[in-house]
Amino acid sequence: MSLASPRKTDKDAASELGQVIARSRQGDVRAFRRLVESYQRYAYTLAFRIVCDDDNAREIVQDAFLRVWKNIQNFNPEVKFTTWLYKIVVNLSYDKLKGERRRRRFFLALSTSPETASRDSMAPDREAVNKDLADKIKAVAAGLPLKQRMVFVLRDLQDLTVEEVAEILKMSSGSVKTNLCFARQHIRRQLKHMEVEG
Amino acid sequence: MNCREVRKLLPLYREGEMAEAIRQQVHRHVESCKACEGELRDMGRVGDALAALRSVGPRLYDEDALTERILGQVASTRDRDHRGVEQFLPPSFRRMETACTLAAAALVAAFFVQNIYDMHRVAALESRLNQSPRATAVVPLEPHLSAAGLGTIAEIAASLSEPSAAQGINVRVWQQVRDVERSLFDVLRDGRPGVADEVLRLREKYPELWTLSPTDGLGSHDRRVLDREGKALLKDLRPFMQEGEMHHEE
Repeated sequence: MSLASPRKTDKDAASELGQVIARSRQGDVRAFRRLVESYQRYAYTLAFRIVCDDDNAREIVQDAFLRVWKNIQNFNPEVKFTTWLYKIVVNLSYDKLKGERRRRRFFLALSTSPETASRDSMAPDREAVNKDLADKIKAVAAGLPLKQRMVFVLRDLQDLTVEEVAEILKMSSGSVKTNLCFARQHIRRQLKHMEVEG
Repeated sequence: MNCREVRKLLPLYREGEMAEAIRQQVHRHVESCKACEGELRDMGRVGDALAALRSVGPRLYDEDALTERILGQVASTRDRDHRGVEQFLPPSFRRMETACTLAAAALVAAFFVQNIYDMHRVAALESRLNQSPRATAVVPLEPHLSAAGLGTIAEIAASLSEPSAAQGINVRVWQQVRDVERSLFDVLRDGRPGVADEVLRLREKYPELWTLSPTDGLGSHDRRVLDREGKALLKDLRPFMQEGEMHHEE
């Protein structure tokens, strides 16, 4: 059973996660495998939402878990494991985006992203909440400035709290809120613009 | 409260994060203003769309393959870590290290080979010495020595092994003469009768040299004789000694 299984209570899950991390710190690869299997979907979702590219997202997840393995000795148990993992994924994604100045390509690619097709089978009731608009939001979000995009993905798509976003991005809560506000304004403005044009 | 003020507050109004008094003011304005109501409706649509996006799971990909790739990399990292400090050395250092190891191994091997070779050589020499005719040639040589006026082997050995006799003279020449005589003595012991005739001839050539008696000590005249005739004798004896050495090698 996954460490992050919804069938487990928070206390049980935390205790089991603590044990798995402790064993991984001692070099137990089988314990580390459980960490990878339990959290790679979370890591992949986040990476994909930021970089909007399947290959890059998988590469980021791979590098992220390698960093986790190398630095697990320095992991502070007082910090949530997911927050630590998210921080690594976000940093790697940020580096990836910064290195690749292909925003325009991302924007175009998003409109024909295979994610749309795969999502249909996973969320059949999604059309009720405006499928078209969701896709447009994703496309517009890809054109946001990097910092705003990070904040938007973490807060509005990953549903993290402002405090968690601030911790991951090493920003103040105020700065997170400001960037989020700008991001939302930009998205709304772009959506209106698209509606007028389209 | 005008439209501009209300629109700034709409996100907070929608999320319910504002004081009740302000919330009511915004509420009253939105109910009476079609534009702000539309703005709020748009926000709601975007909010719903975001909620839809959040509820969607990650796109399908091969999780097992990614897990194996990650663990494969972890395994190779572990192997590198287990190599210890070597991993921090550049490849050129590692090559040099290999070369040094091979050189050290070659030296050790050469040392052992040399030792084994020496052992065989010593064994062969010992074997040759044991088979040498020297021991049996000592007795028949005595008459030749007497004929040459050199005295017995014991007397010659005693005179040559007395270090005090060398004091106060040209030590270097005396040492050389002594060495030559010792070699001559060895040759005589090896049983070459012709050597006695040669010694006799040399005695005639250097008459004063043979009158010296190292055991009695040497005066200034004796030293001059030693210097003059001794050096000449050494010169004469050199080819003879080489012949003798060759004879030894046979």
